[in-house]
Amino acid sequence: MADVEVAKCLSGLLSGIAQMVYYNKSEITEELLKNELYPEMPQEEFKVLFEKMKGLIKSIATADMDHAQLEAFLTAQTKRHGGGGLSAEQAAALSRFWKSQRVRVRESLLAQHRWEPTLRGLSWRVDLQTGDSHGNADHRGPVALMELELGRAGQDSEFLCLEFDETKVNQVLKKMADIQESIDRIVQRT
Amino acid sequence: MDSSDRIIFSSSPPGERRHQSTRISLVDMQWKLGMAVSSDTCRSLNSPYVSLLLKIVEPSGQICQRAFEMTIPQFQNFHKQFKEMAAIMETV
Repeated sequence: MADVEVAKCLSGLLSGIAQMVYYNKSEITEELLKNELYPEMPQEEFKVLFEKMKGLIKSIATADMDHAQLEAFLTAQTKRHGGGGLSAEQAAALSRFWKSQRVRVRESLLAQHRWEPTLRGLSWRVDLQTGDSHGNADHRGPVALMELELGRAGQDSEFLCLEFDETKVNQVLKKMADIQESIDRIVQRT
Repeated sequence: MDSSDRIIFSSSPPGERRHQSTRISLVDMQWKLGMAVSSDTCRSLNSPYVSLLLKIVEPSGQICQRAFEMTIPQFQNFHKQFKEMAAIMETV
């Protein structure tokens, strides 16, 4: 295989592994990757390559390596003797892969660890109640309706429609200001 | 609400408001600012988040809770929307 071809197949393999492990693409399988990228390679040899690359990606992702750490890690791997060593092309492919995918892999890892529902969407409106059918004007005043879309990864959303009068809105705003203050304090410290 | 109500302002066009669900009142809201430090698949997460616990009353009178998380940017957008909503209410 020409060098360019080798590099392309390696990149494809690393990308495919990321799709399987981090991006939840269930249609990507080890078998598919072999058939698409390394059809001529013996099964056992491909399995070894696959597991080695997967293990390295996981190590890099778990440590969330920066550029310097990655280079040191890959250099150490290329110096290993015996079957565990990494070729220069493989090291280069891993370096390119991590440079382009680090942020996305990290986002995926963060999302995997959000076990509570998250806020998927939000819409609101303000109504003015001008009276009711009994001719009663006591209920005048603006009413806010806020619809929150909540859900966990891979599950359907729940829609919560909350009703607020002005007093309640101001109470919530005060709490939100407290939250923002806490955030600002933490950001200053770190 | 009867037909004399007027919609003053909405964050989304009328066609997009799909869910005319039961109106729920908020009794209390508790909050927590947390930091996800580490996990089994990522040793240094360093990810701050805001967690809210809403105590709500359904029309039946039943009180229940709902908790959810937001990233800092998500919270800041939530806060901004709330402020916009409050500003509209004041002008009415």
